[in-house]
Amino acid sequence: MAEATTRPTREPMPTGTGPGRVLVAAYAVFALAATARAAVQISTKFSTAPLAYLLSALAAVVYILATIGLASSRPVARRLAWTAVGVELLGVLAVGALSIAVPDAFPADTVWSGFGRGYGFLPLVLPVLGLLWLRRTRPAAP
Amino acid sequence: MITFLVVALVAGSLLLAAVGFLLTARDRQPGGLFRAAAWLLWATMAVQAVIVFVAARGGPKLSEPITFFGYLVASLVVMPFALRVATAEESRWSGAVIAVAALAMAAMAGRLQFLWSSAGG
Repeated sequence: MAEATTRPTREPMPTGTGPGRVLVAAYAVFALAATARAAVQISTKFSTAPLAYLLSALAAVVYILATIGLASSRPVARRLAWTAVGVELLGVLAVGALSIAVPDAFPADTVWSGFGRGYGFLPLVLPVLGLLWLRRTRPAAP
Repeated sequence: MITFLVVALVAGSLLLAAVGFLLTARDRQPGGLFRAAAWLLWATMAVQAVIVFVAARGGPKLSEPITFFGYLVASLVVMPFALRVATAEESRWSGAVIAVAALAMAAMAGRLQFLWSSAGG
């Protein structure tokens, strides 16, 4: 989806328009899903796997911030999006690798377990698309 | 859960998603027919939700009732939201936005069916 429009532009392109809207929609779905899941986990069975459920909550916050960052076109939002999507990618890679290397440390699944296997690996694909999109729409270097 | 409705929901969602992505690929904006189909899908989900809600009272014991009803609510929220986003900025990407929502609905319909069928008694 990233190679659809080529604009040799000098000023930043809003991240929430064009193909970016599809990305925002996907992020919004994940924000909703991750928030609901973390809320259920923490409110009903937090003590069984505190680390995993805290990671779920962290993932939910990251998805919410990424959605806001990508949807808004203010300069501060772009920085927010870079940070959130970057943290998201690091989180998927770290939790994904750890959940496979030391499965005992992750008794319960999070969105990021097994590189997002439970969600069709979308948690791994989304941040890559997000970073590519942020790079494509960024303002040209002075 | 009515199995027939679940099959119709999943098949309908996947079809809608395919058409949505096709519209984007062919640089076309979603027309009235496509939007009507999206609303029809939503209405089917709503019917299913009402049936499930009635059946869940005094029906089989759900092992994870909060998760189940969370999915039920989420599956109803996603499509109206996507249609709003797709309408606010009409472009070739509107079809793909609705397609993403349709895929989410297909996934949630599948999860709902799984949670429902794993309920005891």
